[in-house]
Amino acid sequence: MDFLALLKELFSGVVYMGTAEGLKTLIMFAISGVLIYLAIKKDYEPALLLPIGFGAILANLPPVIDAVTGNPAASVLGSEGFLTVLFNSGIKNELFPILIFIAVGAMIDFSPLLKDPSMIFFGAAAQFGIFATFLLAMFLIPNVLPNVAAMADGPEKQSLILRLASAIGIIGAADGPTTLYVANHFKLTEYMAPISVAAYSYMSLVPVIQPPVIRALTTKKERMIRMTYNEQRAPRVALILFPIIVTALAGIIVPMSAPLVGSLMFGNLLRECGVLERLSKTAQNELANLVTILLGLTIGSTMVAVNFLRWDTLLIMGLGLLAFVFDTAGGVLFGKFLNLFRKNKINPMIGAAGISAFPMSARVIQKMAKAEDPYNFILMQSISANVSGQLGSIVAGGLVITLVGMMIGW
Amino acid sequence: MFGAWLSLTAEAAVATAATAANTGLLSLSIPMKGLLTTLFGLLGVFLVLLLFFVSIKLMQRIGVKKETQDE
Repeated sequence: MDFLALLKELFSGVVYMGTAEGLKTLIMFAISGVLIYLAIKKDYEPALLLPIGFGAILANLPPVIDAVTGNPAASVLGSEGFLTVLFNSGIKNELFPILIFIAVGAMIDFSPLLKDPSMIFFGAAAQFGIFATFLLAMFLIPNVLPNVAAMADGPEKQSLILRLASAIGIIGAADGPTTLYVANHFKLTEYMAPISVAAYSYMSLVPVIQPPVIRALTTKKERMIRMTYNEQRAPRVALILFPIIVTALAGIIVPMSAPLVGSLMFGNLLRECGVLERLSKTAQNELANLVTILLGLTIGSTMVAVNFLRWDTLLIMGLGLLAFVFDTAGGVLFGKFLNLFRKNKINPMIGAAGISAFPMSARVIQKMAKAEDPYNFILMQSISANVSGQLGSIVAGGLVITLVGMMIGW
Repeated sequence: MFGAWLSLTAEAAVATAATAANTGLLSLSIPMKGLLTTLFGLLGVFLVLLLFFVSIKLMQRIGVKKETQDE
């Protein structure tokens, strides 16, 4: 190796930063910085945004060039890079979302829902955003995205539009693992970064996104509606049977949702069975923490400039935000609709908690109710709607995969 | 013999119907595909959660009965 080649290898990163690609790297560093800032300073989902931000920095580091061959050498990315290994072993095969769901299941207490099962329908109504956004995305994608517009009309173009629209719509599930699951199922690797960043960042922005929508759709009088809560505890046998029956039902009716429902309910059974305290705690803490670190870092690694600094990203981020708005509106309007027929009125704000962002959305609703009437306590009803949203979003994810799969012949 | 023939015919009929349905779906326009997905998707979510609701109601009854017996 001559001296010049040695210098070239040593300072290849510095040279790279002076190129157009280097400028893109700097922009990605800035975006990563914003995510890390939001995590540390604003405390928005720090467990996710911080690893995502740092993963994005790692993924955008200048490529390592082998001075002898002139080819890219193993770095954090590339076929042997550790982030690629993590992606292949955790995202590509859908393992991380599944493991996260075991942890989430172990954290969820379904007893408020078992005491007041009528709240379960809010978990369905609030999935409206998924489908409304799906329709909107379907019309926008071929007109706005240059790479899709340039494609010749045919089954391939149709397939990409429908797959991409469903992955964007599913951001409205307000459920990171389900979003990843759907995007990955439809082999949308190059869109994974904006989709997952939108899903996770908007989840953390629920306290900012939901209140204005709720206020716009409800009157002060409606927001002050008080609701009674059944203090009687849910029967233990029901708590144990619930995860088993839900898994069987979901697996039979929407088989595509079985991996997610199954893992969520397995985690919940660990919690409720009463004889596996140690495993339940492990799922809630060690498993959740470990997979969150790996998941965040791996999602961040998909934020490579070439895949992220595109028009697609703006469209996906914009539509993702709309999905959350539509979800909130769907839930609230459903609550208002039910009130047309009910003697005991429901506080329609509870409908907004029908999204999957648990327990943040329920807390936001309780905070809003308290702001209107300091003695109004609707947290338990909101929690019921919120856990129903977990179930609803997974079922919606499974249905979207099945239906879109049928439409494009997958 | 007849049983085997019947089963084979039934299988062939089901396969043909499934292929026809699938081909029908594939040939639809994108807006129609989108609308069908939305319609069946939303209905499906409500239907599945309705089933969960019914099962919770049943479990509540079982639970209450069992606790009454235990007492």
